[in-house]
Amino acid sequence: MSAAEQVGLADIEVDNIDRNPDNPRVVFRQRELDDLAESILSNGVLQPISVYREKDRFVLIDGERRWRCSRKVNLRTIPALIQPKPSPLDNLLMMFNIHSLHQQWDLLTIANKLPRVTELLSDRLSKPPSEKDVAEATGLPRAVIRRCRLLLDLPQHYLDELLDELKKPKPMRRFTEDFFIEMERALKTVQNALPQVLDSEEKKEQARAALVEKYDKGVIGNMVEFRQLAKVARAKNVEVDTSMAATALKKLFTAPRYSIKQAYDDTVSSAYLERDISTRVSGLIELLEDLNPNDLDDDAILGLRRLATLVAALIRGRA
Amino acid sequence: MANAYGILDPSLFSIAEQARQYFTKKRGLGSFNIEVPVLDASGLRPTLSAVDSDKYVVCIEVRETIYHPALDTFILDCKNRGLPIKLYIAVPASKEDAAFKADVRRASENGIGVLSVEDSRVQAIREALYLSLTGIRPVDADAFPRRYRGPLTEAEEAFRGGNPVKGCGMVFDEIEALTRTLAKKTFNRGLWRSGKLTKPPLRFDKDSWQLVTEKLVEEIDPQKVGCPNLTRPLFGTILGLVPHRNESGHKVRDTQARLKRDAELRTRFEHARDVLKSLVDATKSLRL
Repeated sequence: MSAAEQVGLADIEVDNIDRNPDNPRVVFRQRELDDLAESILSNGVLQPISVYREKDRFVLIDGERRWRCSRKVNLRTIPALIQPKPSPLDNLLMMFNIHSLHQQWDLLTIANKLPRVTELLSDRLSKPPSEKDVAEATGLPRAVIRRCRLLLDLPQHYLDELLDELKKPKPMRRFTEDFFIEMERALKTVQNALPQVLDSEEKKEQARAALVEKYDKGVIGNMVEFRQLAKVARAKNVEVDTSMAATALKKLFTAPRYSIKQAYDDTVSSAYLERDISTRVSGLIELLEDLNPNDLDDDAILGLRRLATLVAALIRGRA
Repeated sequence: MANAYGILDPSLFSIAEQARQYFTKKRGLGSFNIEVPVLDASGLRPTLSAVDSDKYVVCIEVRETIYHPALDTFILDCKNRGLPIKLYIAVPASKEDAAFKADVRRASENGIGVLSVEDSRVQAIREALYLSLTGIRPVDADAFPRRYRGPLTEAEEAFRGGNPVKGCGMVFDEIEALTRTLAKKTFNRGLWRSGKLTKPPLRFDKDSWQLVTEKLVEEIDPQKVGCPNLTRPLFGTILGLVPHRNESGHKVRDTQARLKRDAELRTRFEHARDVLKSLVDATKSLRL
């Protein structure tokens, strides 16, 4: 039985293998490939790749990096586990499940394949799959699926830009998946809490462009600042005038030098601080009321004395 | 063309295309192969390869960064097997910081050329050497008297730099000059077997190198001249070099012929250098 006919382990000619068009992974970083190539040159391919037969050739299921490197370093053959040809859905899900065991894919690569998984799962289940269905089938945590969906909400040109960024070594990347996810979450909050600020897709796209430019120019210093943006949008939660918050957000999306931090300070900063203090004080009071003085050690007494002094000074200052 | 790449990352397709156009327009290369093994060399399938008019295989490896130790296997195989290959690395233009310079230096030390590609501009930062020629034993110039060190280093540079015939010729020049001086001075000092003659039997500077050497075989008595290593076999070895003295680099038919030719030249160069060393050592006591 020739290698082309058998199912099981065999050495296959590297030139007789094709990449799997459904492999979600599209970014293969040079440094990773170089290191793997060096290892293959020293030790050979230690772990077989997985393939299935397609006429007189083979198609990869798992091991594209090993296969690429083996071709690059001019190996003639590569050890491979030949498996029966899977259905299109199984083909995709098998790669998801194998890769979730091996290493973390870039989120974008997963996101790009999710619509296809959803489509094929719909056919199999005869209904649109829930988030839980997708999670069970792919082995991905539901949080990851939600993050992927946020990425998929981005216009294509941002996805292209993100893909270009992912090809760069980490320290050289300007934008990351996390940046876009944080931004999209914040914009979604704005849309839900203050729909008048982003009442069309066009306005949302303008807002994105403004935020991306501000991040690029350092007006937004850290992607965590997007959480403050969401807090501004939720001004109603801390009893701040929503029209003031809406004005600040409109300014944020149009004035080039106006930062998220400024918008936060101009609107909800003190309200959130007050709420934070109230929550903590309530919790502390509740705790202290239940305490027996004999339960406190010297350090706790010292801390409470310091707290009492600070509170007294604050109250005096206000008076 | 872009669709033909199976290994190259799509982000580097444009770099590969610019490099290909550069070698086509500026260096006259055509018929590029894409990601195929070259002369069965191990360690690398270059992104592009083509055969030049001298039947060397010019390989262009397109990468994000210039150097990585994984390339060493390929370089070593080319040098060890004397494969007639030139390797260029084409990279996207980047800031020339310390790491970049270190990479360029390392590539250069291994005979690898470096091309920097920015938009449609391709700049050759370093030229590639012929890997079949760079595998020669390095010259131990210190082992030679001072006057030979410069010429030998130049000969080696010419050889490694792609002109092996000239490199060999430069070593032959030194052997010939020393042979003629040996003949002239031993004659003038009356050290020949035929004793002190009033008129030299040949023109030391004008007659053929072969004639002068054959005369030395007849006339030199190693014991009489106080040079026990100035033996007939040594002169025989020198006579063996004479036919190659005026050989010019003729065109070869194909890459296999180039491989054979470069292997011969490499052996000839190293042999000539060893003969020069033997002759210098053998005649040391004569203070020529």
